[in-house]
Amino acid sequence: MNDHAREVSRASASHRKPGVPAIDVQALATRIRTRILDGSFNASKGHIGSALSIADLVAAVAPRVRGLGTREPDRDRFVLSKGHAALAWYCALRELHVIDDATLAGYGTDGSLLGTHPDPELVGNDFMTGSLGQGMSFGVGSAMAALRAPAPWSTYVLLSDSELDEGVTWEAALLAAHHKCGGLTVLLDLNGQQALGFTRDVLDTSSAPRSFEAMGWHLTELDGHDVTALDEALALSADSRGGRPHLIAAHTTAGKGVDFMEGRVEWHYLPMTREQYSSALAQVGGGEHA
Amino acid sequence: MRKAAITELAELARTDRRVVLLTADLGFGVLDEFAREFPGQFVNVGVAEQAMVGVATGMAEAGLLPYCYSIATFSFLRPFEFIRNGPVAHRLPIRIIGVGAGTDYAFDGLTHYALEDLALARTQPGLTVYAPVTDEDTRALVRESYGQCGPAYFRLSRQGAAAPSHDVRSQTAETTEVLVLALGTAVERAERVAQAVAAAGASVRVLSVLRFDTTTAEDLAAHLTRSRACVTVEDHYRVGGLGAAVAEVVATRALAVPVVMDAVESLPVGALGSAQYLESKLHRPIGELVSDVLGALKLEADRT
Repeated sequence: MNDHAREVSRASASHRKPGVPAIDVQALATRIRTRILDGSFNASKGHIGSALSIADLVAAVAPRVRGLGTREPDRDRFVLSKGHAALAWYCALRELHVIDDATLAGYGTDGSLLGTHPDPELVGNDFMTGSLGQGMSFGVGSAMAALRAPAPWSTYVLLSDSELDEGVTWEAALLAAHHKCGGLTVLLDLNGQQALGFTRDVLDTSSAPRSFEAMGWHLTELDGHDVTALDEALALSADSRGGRPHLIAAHTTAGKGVDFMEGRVEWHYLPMTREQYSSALAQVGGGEHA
Repeated sequence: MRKAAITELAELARTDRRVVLLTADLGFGVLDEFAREFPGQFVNVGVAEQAMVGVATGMAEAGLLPYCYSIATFSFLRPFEFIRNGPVAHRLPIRIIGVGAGTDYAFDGLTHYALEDLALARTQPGLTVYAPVTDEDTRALVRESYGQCGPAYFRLSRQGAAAPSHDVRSQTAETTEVLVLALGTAVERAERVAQAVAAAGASVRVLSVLRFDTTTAEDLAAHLTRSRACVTVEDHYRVGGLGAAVAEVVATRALAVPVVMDAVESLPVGALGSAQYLESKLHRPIGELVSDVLGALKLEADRT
């Protein structure tokens, strides 16, 4: 474990105490958004809407991941099941000093560990994702292993609402409920969009949160851009949930923070022009770095 | 063979609590004792093979040693992308146990025939394939794979062959006119091919390929260089199987060894039957194979 990682690990551990936030999550989310815009513009890559959608979610959860940036056996695990939003996670890793500026600047360049989907060789990525629907089962396996461990850890999965289309997401959800994986928290990014349109038009999954609850999950529904609500939900202990896995159904907006991206399907794909980049930066409250 | 695998696995589980056996709701009469003796090391995930491999990935990343059990088409083919993106990409010690190599589940039909599993498995870097012939092989290979850090796939038949196998890796290379290489329990057909070759007056040797890993090509080359012709016998589609693996070695090392391939070349639907019936329907007559290999030997002789 390097010094930065130890620092993060200690901060994460203290932050896990309910009501004692060690990090200003709102400010962290703003810095993550700024970095998302920088990274996307510099690499001329898309998936910006997805990354902005989860900026508040990763800002709330990343500091809670105990041992983040290490391969310690009893560290917490984080699975970015919606791997296409990897840039948001990389920005959180940079903000928490797991990776440095040079590593982040390599996003989308030859030889980089930072692709548009998470590579398993990057410390801070516990699992390779990018094929929708796989991350949930990885997380459930980790949580089932934690049930057998002398020093159990927490497992966090960030799931896209489009992954509710995948049958295996439901297989994994049933397993987590059946085996009472209390250490598992799934953040469901309900931004209502997927690759070819709005979720309600492509395949309506709006009943999913209630279905999870019916299976035996503890359900919290909240505004996924309300970091206080997110922080409170994440602080809910497994005991207080009766040992049930936790689904945090987070209602979000794709492209959140940038008016010309919000709710627009095309920002799943498009890179920004310089003018769009400047406008977007001004809107999220960051300065231009590129 | 499946019972032998689980018996050996129980031996491992007894001393290593990291060993976890997952099943996708199959293994009646095979897994019962294991489940009773090691309730904390046994999980029936339900009929959910993709989740089984995904969950195994999460478990293995956390330090457990998961074994995923089902009929081969379900434990290996159905979750193939999970195997690729999970144990293979993360280099994790997950073992996929697939029962019903080739047409072993004869009357159950194509959904139960693992005829392309070796072809797929051979494409994956770091994935070792074990293809035991006998129960003894199975136990030895389960033991051998234990402690190896990468993923593995066990291609098992329900019943092991009666006679001991002769492993290309452990057998010393010897000069022979015809080398017959077999995959798994297809060795019994390979022996019949060899008898016919011997009856025609050519010297012949039968060996089995028990492992497909980074040194298999070396194993094969050692024997092929001492042979004048080769017959491969497998209960697997022709593309990508044992014959193809042998042909790759012959071609890339410029060995002057003609290869006659015996494999499944047609879609096995429309006529179910016993193992014997399927063999007669899906494979060429042994006489034809022998004629081909003798013809190849004659050509070789004419050239030299």
